[in-house]
Formats: sequence, C-alpha cells, structure tokens
Amino acid sequence: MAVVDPTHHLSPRVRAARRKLLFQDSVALLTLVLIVVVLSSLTYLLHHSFENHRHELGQRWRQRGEMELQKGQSQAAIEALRAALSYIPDRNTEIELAEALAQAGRTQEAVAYFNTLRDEEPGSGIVNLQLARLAVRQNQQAQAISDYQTALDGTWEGDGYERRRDVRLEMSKYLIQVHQFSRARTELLIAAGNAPDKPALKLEIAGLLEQCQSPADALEIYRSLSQRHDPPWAALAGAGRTAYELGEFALAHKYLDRATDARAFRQQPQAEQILIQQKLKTAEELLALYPADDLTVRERAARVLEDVRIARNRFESCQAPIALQPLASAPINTPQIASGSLPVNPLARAAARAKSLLAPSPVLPVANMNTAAQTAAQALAARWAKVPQKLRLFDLEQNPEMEQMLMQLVYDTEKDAANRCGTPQGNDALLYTIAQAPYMVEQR
Amino acid sequence: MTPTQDATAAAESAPLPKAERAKLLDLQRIAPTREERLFLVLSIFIGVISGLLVVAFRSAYEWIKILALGSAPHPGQYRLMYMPALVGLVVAALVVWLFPGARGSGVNQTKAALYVYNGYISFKTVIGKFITAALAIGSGQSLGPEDPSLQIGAGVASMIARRLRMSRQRLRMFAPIGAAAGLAAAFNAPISAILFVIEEVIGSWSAAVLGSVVLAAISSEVVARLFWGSEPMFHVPPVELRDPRELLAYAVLGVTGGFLAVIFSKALGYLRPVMRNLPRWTHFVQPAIAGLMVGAIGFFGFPQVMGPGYTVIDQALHAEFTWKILLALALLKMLATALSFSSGTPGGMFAPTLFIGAMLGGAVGTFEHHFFPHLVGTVGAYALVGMGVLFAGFLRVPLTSVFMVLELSGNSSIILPVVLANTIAYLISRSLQPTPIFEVFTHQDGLELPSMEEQREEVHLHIEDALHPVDVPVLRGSDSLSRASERMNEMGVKVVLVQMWDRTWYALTRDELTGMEALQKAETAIERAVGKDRIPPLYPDLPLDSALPYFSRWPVLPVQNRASRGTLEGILTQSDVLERYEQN
Repeated sequence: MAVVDPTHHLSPRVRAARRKLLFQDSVALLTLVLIVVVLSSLTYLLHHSFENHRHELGQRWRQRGEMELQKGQSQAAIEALRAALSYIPDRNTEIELAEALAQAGRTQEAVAYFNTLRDEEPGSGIVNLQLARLAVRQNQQAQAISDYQTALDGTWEGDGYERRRDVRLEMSKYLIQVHQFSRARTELLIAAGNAPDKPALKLEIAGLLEQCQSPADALEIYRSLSQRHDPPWAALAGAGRTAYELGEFALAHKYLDRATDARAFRQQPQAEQILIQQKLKTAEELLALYPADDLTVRERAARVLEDVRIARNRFESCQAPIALQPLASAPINTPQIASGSLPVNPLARAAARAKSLLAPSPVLPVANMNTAAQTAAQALAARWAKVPQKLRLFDLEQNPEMEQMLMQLVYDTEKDAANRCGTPQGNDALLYTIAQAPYMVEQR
Repeated sequence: MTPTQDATAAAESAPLPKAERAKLLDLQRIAPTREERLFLVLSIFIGVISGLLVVAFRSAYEWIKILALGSAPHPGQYRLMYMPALVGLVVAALVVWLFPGARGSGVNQTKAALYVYNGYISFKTVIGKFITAALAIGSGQSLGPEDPSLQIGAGVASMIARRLRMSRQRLRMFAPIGAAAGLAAAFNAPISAILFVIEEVIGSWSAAVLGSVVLAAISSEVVARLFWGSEPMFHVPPVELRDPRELLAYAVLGVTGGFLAVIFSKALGYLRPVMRNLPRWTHFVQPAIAGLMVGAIGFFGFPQVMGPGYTVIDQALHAEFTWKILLALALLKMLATALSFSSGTPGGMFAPTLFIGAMLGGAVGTFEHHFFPHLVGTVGAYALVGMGVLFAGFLRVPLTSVFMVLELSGNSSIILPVVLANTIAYLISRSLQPTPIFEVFTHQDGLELPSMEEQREEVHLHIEDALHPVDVPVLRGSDSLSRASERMNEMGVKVVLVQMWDRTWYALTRDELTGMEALQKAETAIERAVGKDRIPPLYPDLPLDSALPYFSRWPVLPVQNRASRGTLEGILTQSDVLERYEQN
C-alpha cells in the first residue's frame, strides 16, 4: 500500500514554503539551545564565583565568631556568627550562635533558637544539653532535668560515650545542687560503671558521690584507686576521709597515714594538711581506746578498764542528784549473787556478777529530768551501781562476756550523757564516736 | 509613562504593515498547527532561560551588595549612606537616559505589555531591568528582586515569541508564561508564582495558557534548584495550631495587618505621584536621595531595612527580636520602601511586603505571647502568618497569599489561621482602600488596565439568566409543512421550533416555510424539507455571550436540559440577551 504524503494536496509553492518554515524553526530552536548553553555557562561562572566567595566569607565570620566566643566576647560573637549564618546556613553555626546568645544573657532568644533547632532535630544531644543549661539558668528544675535526660538519650557527634558521660556528670552536679541526692547518686553510679580507667575521672565521680551523701560508694572508688601502684594522693585522702565519715576508723587510719606519708602531702594547701592530720590523730586516739580484736587479752582488758573509767567519770559528772551505791551495799536481786549462792568457780562467779549487771534493778529516785530521761538515767545508774569500783584486769581477762557488757555500758553511758549533758569532749568524745557504730571501727 | 515610552509602545502596537500581515496569514495557512506545537516546547525554553537569568540576577545583586556594603553591614558604617546614594545616581542616569522601560517594579509593566502592547517587552528593557535592579537592590535600596524577575521572565518570553514570529494572539499569551517562570525561580515557590500570575496578571484560568504557565514555572524552578539546591528560602520552624481559641489571636493579626496594609498603600499612593511630578532634573537625584535616607536608617541603628531583608525575615521566624524591635523594623521598612519605590528606583514590592508582614506578625505574636503564654503558639508561626497577611492586604492576592505561606512552611496545619487572618486583612484593606495598589500605580502611569480584582468579582451572566419559557409552537420533524403553517397561524408567530428524530432542533421561520410550500407538497415532512444545518445545543449554564454568534442564522434558540437531552428549559432570543446585558 503506497504511503500517502499528507501534503500532497498542497501546491508546490506552499510545500516549499513549509519546508523553509520548518528549517527556520529548527534553526531558531537550535539557536535557543545554544543560548541556553552559553547562558548556563555564564550563569554558572557568576554563580560559582559568588558561591566560593560566600563560602569563604562564611568561614571567616564563623572563625571570628568562635574566637570571640572562646574569649567570652559574646556580643561580638553573636554579630560574627549571624554574619556567618547569612552566608552559610549551617546547623553547627546555628548552635554556636545560640550558645553565644545564651552566654550574652539573651536567654529568651537562645531558648527560642534552641527550641527551633530541637524541633528540627529532636534527638540532638547538644541541643538538648544547651536547653537544659538554659533551663537551669531560668530556674526551671523539672525542665532542666528532663532536658538533661533527653540529652543523655540523644545522638552525639564524635565520641558519644564520652559526651554522654560528661552530660551525666553535669546533670549529677545539678541534681546535687537542687538536693536530689538519690537521683544524683544513681547517675553517678552509672557514670562510674561506664567510666574508663582514668584516675582523674574516677576521683571526680567519687568527689561528687561524697557531695550527694554517699560516702560508702565514694570510698569504694577511692579504695580501688588506692590499690594502684603510685596511687593518686587524692584517692588516699579521699579513702581516709570517707572511711572516717563512715566510722571505719581502722581503715581511715590506714589511708590517712598513707596520705600523710606520701610526697604529695607537702604540696597540699596548709588547711588541707591540718585537716588530714587532725583526722589521723583523732583516729589514732580513738583506736587507742577501742578494744580491738587483734589486741592481746591483757591489752584489750586494759583498754576496757580505761574506757570504763572514762565513762564512769562522765556518768558521775553528768549525774547531779542521783545517788550511786557501790555494789557491796546495793541490794542484789540476782540469785547468783545472793549471799552464799555465788558459784565457787571464779569464772562462773565473774559471769554471774556480769549477768547481774543486766538484771532489772530497782528504780532509784532521780530529780529534774523528764520521764524517759529519768528512766534511762535510772537504768544506767543501776547498771553502774553493779560495776565494782575497782575492777581487776584478771576479771576481765577471764570473762570476755563481761568485757562486752562493760563496753556496752560505756557506749550507752556516753550516748546518754551526750543527750543530757551536752557535747562530750576529749576521750568522752572519742568514746561517743565509737558508740555510734562500734562494729564499724575495725572494718578494713 | 514618558513620551518616549509612549511613542515606542505605540509604534510596536500599531497595526502591522500589509506585508507583515500577509506573511503571518501565510504562516497560518502554510502551517495552521505550528503555533500549537511550538507553544509547549517554547514554554520549556522560556522557563529554562528565565531561570538562568534569575539565578544570574541574584548572583549579581549579591555580589554588588558585598562590594558596596561590605560582608557584614552594621550601624555606624558611613558606607551604608554614601554607597546607596552613589549607586542611586548611576541607576537614575541609566533609567532616565538608557532604559526608561526599566522603571518601577515590573508587575504593572508586564500587565501593560500584555493588555496594551500586545505582549511586547523589548530586549533593551530586559537588559536594563537586570542591570538597574541589581544595582539598586545590591546597593541597599529597600526593594525586592521578585518583581524585576517577573518582568525579566516576561521579556524573555516576549523576545522568543517575536523571534519565532508568533501571532499577536499568541504573543500576548507568552508574556504571562515568562512572568510565571521568572517569579517561580525568584520566589522558589512555583505554585505561588503560578497563582500570582493568574490572579494578578492574567486574571482568568484559561486552560490554553495554564499548562504552559505551569510548564515554564516548573522548568524555571528546576534550573534554579540546580544552582541553589532545594533548601527553602526561609528556614521555617515547625508550626501548629495548639488550641482553637488561638484563632482569635490570629484574627487580631489579620485586623492589624489590614490596617497597616492600608496605611502602606496610602503612603505609596501619595508619595509616588508627588515625586514624579517634581521637575525633571530631580529624577536624576531622587534615587540617590532615597538611597541616602534608607542608608541613614541603617547607619543609625537599623541596617536590617536595607535590601530585600531575607535574612532578617529568617531571624524573625526564629523569634530573635523583641516585639519593640520587630514593630520598629516593620514601620521603618515601610518608610524605606516608600522612599525607594517612589523615587523611581527599579525594584519590587514582594520582599518588602514579606518583610513588613513577618515583622508585624512577630510583634503581634510576641505581644500576645506575653499575656497568653499557654494559649499562643510560637512567635515564628505569627511571623509566618504575618507574611501572608500583608500579601493579602497590601498586594490584594488572597489565593496566592494562602498558598505562599503553605509552600514556604510546608505545613498544612497552619492553613486555618492563614485563611482567617488573610481574609480579615483582605476585607479590611478592600473596604478602606477599594483600589488595589498595582491599579493605583497603573492609573498614576496614565494607563487603564483591567482590574483583576474587579474581574474576579464580576458577575458572569449565563444563558439561564436570559431565557424565557417556550412561547412558540414545538413540532416534530415528522410533522408536515401544512401542520407547521397551521400552528404558526394559530399562535400568530413567525417561527416554530422543530425537534428532529435525533433530538436536534431546527427553528423554522415563516419565510422559509412559505418558500418550502411553494416548492414542495404540503404533506412533506419538515425534516425532509429543511436543510442539514441544526441549532447547536445550548444549556442554561453556558455563558450568555456564547449564544450571540448563532442569532445571525437562528431567530430563536432552544435551551436544553443537560440531564434529559431534547427537553427544553426555555428559549432565547437576541432581544432577551441584549435586555439582560442592559439590566446588568
């Protein structure tokens, strides 16, 4: 089938005109293409040159802004960073600008900026951290804690572990500041668990644990640091200090002693040195009074006698109208101590006497005290009444139970005297300290 | 318009010489479908070339800004004052001596080209606009680049259409295509650009041109994004409507924006003719004086008002200013723009409108936030809505203003506050300033261009507005000629309507019937006696003017029901149509 030319009905002149028109239109379109090519090149050159210059300007202004920010010239930093942003809209520059605004005290603007950044990137760690800091400045406690937590959970550039740790420590410091010690402790323990083996970091964490009233946790860290070869002085001092606070005086003495022996001790401030030495001295004196298990029988008995003497003096000085009756003239209710009924065996006899100290005694009249205090004082008086004025070492050596009971009486007396007669001094103070937790003294 | 411009334009719009006319007719005869085929292809070229020119334009004025004002202008710099003044002198000389068509924003000039000069925009005007606007905006005059971009795009389209010897009708259609392309690239918001051109330049949704407008705008946008990336013009923070009661706050913004738009319009409407009516020699120094005054505002503390101010808008969107600063910036920008624009410096109104709106919105938002912190959203949201409010109130393009905000924010949850605030501002502005600002400028230039706003609100008549009940006999095609004569005599009419077997209609007049009776038997069926022509189907919803061409052939036109073809809704006569138009 022959192909029909669609223009066959047109005259040759018209056909020629159409061909010419087609040619002209093709040339025109080609010309347009060329124009596009040439214009594209020119536009590219112009645009590219401007972009390069713009980029250079942006970098220059940003560097200036960062310098001003580091120098603390926040107003100049704001202007420079704004200029930088006008050339290179960059998220990091926006963050720096917001930081500069915060630094300049333009808190509202900084908050607005960071909120916008957070809306764009809700999981950004740095943005949430900055918002937390601004909330701290604005005294918005709940908001600050929430923002800190979000910062911890957020994404961080670079070493995320390290950044999060820093945030956690900062958050802990804030929690301590607002007295949320329990939460602070939790965060610090997490930080300690994740911390690398760096003494400075661990010392910081331990110091913060002390501030949030967790000396036991702090002591654990200090002790671990103290076990190193050439341990940091702060670890020794910290261990001694926290052990002292916990009442573990044997341990405290050990570390305080090491601390004072260390070369770094002399480099510490005078006040610090005096404090350490005082604590060491107190620990020594206290341990000198404490009837430790590692002493010989005689030594321990001697200490008990001495403690009894101190406590008795304290008791007597604290008692005004109470009449003390020595054991010999006091009525004795225990059958073991009834006349003729004491065992022949000396040990048994001593035990029997000791037991009598704990036996309920008749209530003696005490004047000028409230009922509870009266009762306590009377009970103590009764107990003291049963203690012979002249206790012998031999009695104590033979009777460990009597030692325990006497020491209990000593502790009770010191506590009672502190309540009724004011702060103890000297050896009384030492005995009173031991009395708070006697079982802790020897902890190592 | 200057006499020189008048002469040039008149020459260009005068009837074509006989030879040229003959050539064009020849083209249409030789290749009747040529223009349709070229139309879409050329739209793409127009879009690409406009996009490239807009990118070059922006790079040019940014370069000039850095060279003239430094990389970080701040208060206290003397160059903020003397540079705009010096460049103003150069711009004035260029505009007065070399490029008179470059004066003004570019929107009115494009409309004038479309309606008065058959879509003609000279190459010289395009070059002149590029150079003078880049100099003016770069040196710190308070004007925007969008309007000049619109005119540059329209000029490119005009040049291309002329080169390819398009018909006059097509030539007129190309200008808005180029305008949309230029604006889309400059605005980085293609939908808003298309809507603006349709709403303000063309005034109607013509399917013929809409496709090309869209194609050109998208091509231009693609080119622009190749250079600038897809980053939005403004970094809009996420916005949301937190509480329905917050709409009251946005209503307040709408009211404030409406009044401010009126003040701005009146200021421009007053100052521009005053400055234009000054002695001619002052036209050489007006831009320089305006530049000096704008520079003085910058020198004494507010350099933000110089230039388009996009960065400052961004800052307002991020709530970086106090409400007092925002308000001050809004008012100073109004002053600076009034000075720059009225002095005849080439440059646009879009960017200053966005700037003033953003500052006003931010100020209102900050103020309301202070008193109702739990009820009012972010200040950035108010700045964003404020931009739309001024667009609607000042430029009087309500549809564009809504879409512009949506396009810039990428967030549809803001639509309700935008629509509410924009509508309020538009209504207030319309009631206090009935003539839109572009029309004011047109009248001041001595032109009478169609008002798009009036066109939008025109009542369009339809056939149903003029038809009346059937009062002529209705016969079937199978009826005889004698029957037709009988019915005509019975009712004393001169025409009957005949429905043929295929439900088409024929209006048989007495004269025709008499002629048929003379030649054929009286029993002959009407459908066999009449010719093949039939009345075209007409329906009540069609425009009334669509019926006019048929009255030369048919005295009566039947109007049919669309659902039931063949069923008559009524009939229409020429006198009905004319009477209806007279009533309107």
